[in-house]
Amino acid sequence: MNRTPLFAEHAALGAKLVDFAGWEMPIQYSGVVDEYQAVRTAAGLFDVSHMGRINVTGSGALSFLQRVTVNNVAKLAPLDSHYSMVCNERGGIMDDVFLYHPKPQDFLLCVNASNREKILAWLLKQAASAPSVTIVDRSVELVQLALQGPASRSILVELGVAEVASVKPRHCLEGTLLGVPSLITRTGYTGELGYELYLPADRAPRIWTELLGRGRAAGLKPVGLGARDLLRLEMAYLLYGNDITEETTPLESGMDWIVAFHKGQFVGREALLSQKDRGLVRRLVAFELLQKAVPRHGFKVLANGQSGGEVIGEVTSGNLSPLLQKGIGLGYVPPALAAPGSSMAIDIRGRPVPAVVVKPPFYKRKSREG
Amino acid sequence: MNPTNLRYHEEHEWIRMEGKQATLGISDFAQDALGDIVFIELPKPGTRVTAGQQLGEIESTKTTSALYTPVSGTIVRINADLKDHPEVVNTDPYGKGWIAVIELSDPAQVEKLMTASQYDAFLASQKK
Repeated sequence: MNRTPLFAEHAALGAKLVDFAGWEMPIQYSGVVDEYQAVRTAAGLFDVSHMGRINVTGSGALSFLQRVTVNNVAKLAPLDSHYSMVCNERGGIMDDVFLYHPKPQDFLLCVNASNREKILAWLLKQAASAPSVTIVDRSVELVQLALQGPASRSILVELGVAEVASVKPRHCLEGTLLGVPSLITRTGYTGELGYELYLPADRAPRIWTELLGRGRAAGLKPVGLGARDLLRLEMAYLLYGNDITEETTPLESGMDWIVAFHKGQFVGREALLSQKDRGLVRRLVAFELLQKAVPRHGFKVLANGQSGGEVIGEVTSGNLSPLLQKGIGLGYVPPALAAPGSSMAIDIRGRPVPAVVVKPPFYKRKSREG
Repeated sequence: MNPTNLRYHEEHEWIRMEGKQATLGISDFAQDALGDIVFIELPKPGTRVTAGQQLGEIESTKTTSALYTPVSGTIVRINADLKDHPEVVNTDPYGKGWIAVIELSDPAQVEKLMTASQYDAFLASQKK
């Protein structure tokens, strides 16, 4: 099994480790709910180095990325980033990605751990006919940490990265963290104010330990994948493999806002246009249960009828929201039943539990920092 | 480490006898394996249950796990505090985290359950 450069640190912290996409990763340290609360109220530090980091550079990088991702890369100014997807010719989602643009002709594509090799191979294949593009997998040489929570900014400022104070959402900063050159981006998967840190793998153990030590007074805790999944679900952020796969498209998953049809040719465009013209047969929605119960991946969505409504879809992610103390989830339903307020039921082991479609996210942060 | 005054079942429930009544909970091993418990679904008092039958569901942040009863009888009480504070099962599985009290129809069933030392040995054998 793969291990990140911080494996020894996780073990020393007493983390519970699980196999995640072939990686031995911490699912929890102090406890999922405790770690969740740390991120919502103070700060949490995640090792997300299992994800893939692929550098795309060169004078042809922009036009190459325009062709292999669905969002409009031309609108991405240096030091900005955006959410995007890599589709196949059928419009199926090969991966959902974050694309950073640290400087002209230099892009960093952050991909899911489960898709790392697939996407790297796909990019290399697509680039074979593209001029002036260099693709380098930097997943091993760089680690990726996420520092998330309302206290994350002040922690970085106290560590001497004063410039973070002026970094806008999704923007990046090439700076120095505790003497180590780092790409610091205001991105994350939690819905809180937060940053992701990309830095050299050989320096990572020291940075991890110092960050935790110096952030402790502000409530900083190490956070595992268990809390990460709850945090992202409350934001209705998609999880590849659960909510989206190669059998679903950006339009079905409600991500039509990232598909830049007008930008010109890109892989999957014809298929997606044709799907748009034909009309969708299903759409991903966010829902809440109206009685206390916990929906899980794979449960059936039923038409709202008395008992025994017909199956209209499937739950792709679900859990009990610590914030709402309700069962929440994501799932696919026919478009006619996808509007917020629509009634349905979730089959919880044979018992139909009433549910309602809601407008995502489930969690709305009170203060919106600048 | 597991209390010696209790009896244990392979599905990691424990039983404490008081006359004909048995208090049921889950073991420290079970709560640790489940992780943070967020919701417990239980039958109503008065429900008749049979040894080996599923009694309810324990939902944690990670998974759903079935709760079994190793004894037969009638449920006389459930721990109402768990409705708002299911996490007590994590913090005090042998005390305030008790789950239900069952009036036994066949008290001899308890003798078939493991003692604490047998359960410790059972857990050790499971680890291999």
